[in-house]
Amino acid sequence: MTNTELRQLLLDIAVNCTRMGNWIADDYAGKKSRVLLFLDQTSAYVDRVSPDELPPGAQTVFRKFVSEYPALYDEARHQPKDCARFAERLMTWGSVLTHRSSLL
Amino acid sequence: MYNTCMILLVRTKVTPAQLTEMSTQYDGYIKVVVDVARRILAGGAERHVDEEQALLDDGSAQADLWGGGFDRETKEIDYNSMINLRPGQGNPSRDILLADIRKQFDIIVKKLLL
Repeated sequence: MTNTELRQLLLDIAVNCTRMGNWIADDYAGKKSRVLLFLDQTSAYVDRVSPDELPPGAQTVFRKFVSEYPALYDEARHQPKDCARFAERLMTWGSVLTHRSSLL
Repeated sequence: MYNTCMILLVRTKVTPAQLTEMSTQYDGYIKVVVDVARRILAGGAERHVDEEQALLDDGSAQADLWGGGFDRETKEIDYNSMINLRPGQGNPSRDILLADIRKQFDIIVKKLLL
């Protein structure tokens, strides 16, 4: 995969995390179907990224994201215990991945 | 400097060691809350609300506090935080949309962290 394609994937994941975070913060119940749609899309993006192809600054962070992703996925699919806190976690990942994508 | 848990209150330019400490939580990314009136910031915590509270305890006014982040790897600044959603102050988004606030946020973060 080219660096451009990898960067785009990271940005796609980042934007989705931010998007889902905003929906969950605003109205989880009302936006749940949309969250689930974008969650599955995000999962597909995540599966396409090979961490080994990322530069060191992005690789470390992305591996950490991947290790946390199953728990994020499960919590997003069901009612998060604390929507605001969970939303912030997603939005933080959105910010971090956006920044690290610029290393590509 | 004032340190509570991972939070540093920054009033003068940080040392490299302090910057490293602040960036431990997120592998080189630092969540910050800036007081645009007092021109200081709090950083290093897991959540912006904790940094916000540290500044309020230190005498900041809520209306002057804005959240975002700084990435040590890329030297980029972002303006996204749950605490920024303030329709009453003309900011109806979790991103800082107000141009002057963004500008001040930039200046203060660069002065104290870069």
